[in-house]
Amino acid sequence: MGILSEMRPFFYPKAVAVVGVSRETWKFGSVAFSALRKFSSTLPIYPVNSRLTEFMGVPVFPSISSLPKEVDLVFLFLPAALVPASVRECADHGIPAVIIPGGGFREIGTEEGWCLEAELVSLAGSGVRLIGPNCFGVYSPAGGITILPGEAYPKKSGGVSFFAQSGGLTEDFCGLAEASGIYINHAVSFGNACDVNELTLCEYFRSDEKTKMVGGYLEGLKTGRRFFEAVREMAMTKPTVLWKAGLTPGGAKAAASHTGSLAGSDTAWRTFFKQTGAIQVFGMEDLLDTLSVFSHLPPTSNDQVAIICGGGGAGVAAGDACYRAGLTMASFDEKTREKLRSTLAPTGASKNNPVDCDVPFPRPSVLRSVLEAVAESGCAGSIVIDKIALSVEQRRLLGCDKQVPWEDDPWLEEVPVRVRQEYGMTVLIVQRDWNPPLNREEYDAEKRRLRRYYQENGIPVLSSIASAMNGLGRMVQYYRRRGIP
Amino acid sequence: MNASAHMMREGSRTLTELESKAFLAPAGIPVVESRLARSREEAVRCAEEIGLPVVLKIASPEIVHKSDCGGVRLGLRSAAEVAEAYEQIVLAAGRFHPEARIQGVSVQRMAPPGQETIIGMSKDPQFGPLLMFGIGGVMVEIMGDVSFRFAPLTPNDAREMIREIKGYPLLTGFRGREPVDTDFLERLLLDVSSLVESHPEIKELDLNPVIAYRSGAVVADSRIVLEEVSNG
Repeated sequence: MGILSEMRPFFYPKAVAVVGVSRETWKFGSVAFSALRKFSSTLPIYPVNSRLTEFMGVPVFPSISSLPKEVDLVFLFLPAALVPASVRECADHGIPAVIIPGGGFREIGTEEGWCLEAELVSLAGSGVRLIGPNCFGVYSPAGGITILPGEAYPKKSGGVSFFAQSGGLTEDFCGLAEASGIYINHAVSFGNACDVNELTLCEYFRSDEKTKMVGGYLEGLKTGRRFFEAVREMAMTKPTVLWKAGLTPGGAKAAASHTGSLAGSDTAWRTFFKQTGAIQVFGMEDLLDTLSVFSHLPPTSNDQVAIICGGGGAGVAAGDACYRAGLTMASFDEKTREKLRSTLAPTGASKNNPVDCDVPFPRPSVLRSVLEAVAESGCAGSIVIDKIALSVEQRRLLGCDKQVPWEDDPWLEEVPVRVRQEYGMTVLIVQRDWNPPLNREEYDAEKRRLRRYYQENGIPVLSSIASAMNGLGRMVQYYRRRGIP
Repeated sequence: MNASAHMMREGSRTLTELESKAFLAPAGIPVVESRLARSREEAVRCAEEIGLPVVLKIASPEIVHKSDCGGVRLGLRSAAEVAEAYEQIVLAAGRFHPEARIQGVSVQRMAPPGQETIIGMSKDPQFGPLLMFGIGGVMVEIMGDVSFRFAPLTPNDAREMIREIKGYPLLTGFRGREPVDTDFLERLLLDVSSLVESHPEIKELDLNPVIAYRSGAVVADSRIVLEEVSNG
């Protein structure tokens, strides 16, 4: 059986059973049952408990072997000592997929834990595939499956798939992704990886047509060299963004010594990223920012960036961030500079790159002319907009309607979208975390509205100029390696 | 009997320069020919057969850093110089490493000067053989200017390894220097990659220096460490 059909029940089950629901509704089995029911209105979900007859108004099955044959995914919420026998029962009953969220195995470090884990490992080849133990399971909105306890996570599915050893970080990723405009296809936390591990998931995501790009969080590896090969293969067609935790510096010191000591693990991982073409990130925000840029923008390896901002300091900071991210500030031709000169205020503002609109609330017509002039010039592959008020409401909340009372053009917020669509321009917007003290709540709400509007129109919105440039820099580097113009 | 079988029987893990070269030459890796001389007379005879000037180096499985103990003499131009150097090397090495088994000295032709580079390999516990390339001398020792790739290398990996180091301009004719044969170095890296892939028992490998010229390059010194094999 191929990997796609083997793994399918984890992501698109026909029917699910939760073994270990309990009268105590705060217990994990009960919480999971209720979360799954709330998350999907169509997926049949059966509770199993030998001592209950009814749970949340649903009849309870007394055992795994009494479950209807359509059940192809089982969650086991049982004490560790009972897990191996229940997995065997699942295999005997023809259930192809089991998720084991509970702990009590290798990670507790006792002999019993190790023995139970070894038993699970030995069951992995017996016709049933296992995720876990010691994990939070799977989030696959198209299949109606949510990670625990993500009953309120988005039901909208997207092209980003994710894997992690850590359940907590998988949960974080699933919870945070939507704000970055990232929609998830599948996210898997595989815990102790008794069966399904980083390699299984790489192979699955590589073959899975709905997965357009991959994110991952790694601590250790079970499958060293084979994982290397699988990632190299995957990164050739799908952007693969990995956060390798637990790396310590020391490479520089080691490099002065002879060959043996030059090969510290930091060196090994840097080489891993260089050679596989996977993109290395250093934290959750970094991971989300990078995937957000890849999710919203068309593939490009054009490294020429135009910066449009309101204020000279922001422009200088943007220029630094641009170069640090391995990008280049585009040079404008004379024609473009002339257009900018005729548009912008004669004093103060820079008519070259970075374009300084003088104030964070330029007149809408000025902003439009500036963006169009830069887009038309063909000098830049991307436009990054920083420290500019982008809606009439935002201008009002900033108090600038009093300074420039003649401006009230409702089409203001559409300007970046039009440039993105009409000129096919790569546009990124920076929206800082800062809110004005007077209208804090309203301003924050307006930012969220704008962010979503831009994300829906193919424009990533990042919270700092550095994260915008880093994300763009990584994308440019990735597509350059793939030979995409 | 190949070098590998020989050393395992002796229970030793580090191959001497001569034994390392016996590993490298059949893999198509160009080495400066070395001969083992067990006496002063043999050293003179070898030198005359190879052609002067020559280099003499101590041959002992225990002595890894040969020049630190006075175990290397370069540019010997006459039979008398060779004879004298033999005595001095054996004496000095014996004084520094009284426990070392001294097999004699290796006699090799003095390779003409060129750009010294380094190729190395060590095993990463997760990903396997990790190859290193750098420019010899201070660039590696002080600047840490080296590049890495896991074996097996693709031609593109080898190309990137050479171009990635900061000292790359030293290889392409910086300020009137003679440019060196980087195509040859790329092929050499690929050959080393094949060698370590086909000999998983190689645990560490050091080709240092690899002297590169306008055309070609040659391994002047080398060291190979084999995985401990307990097969009696």
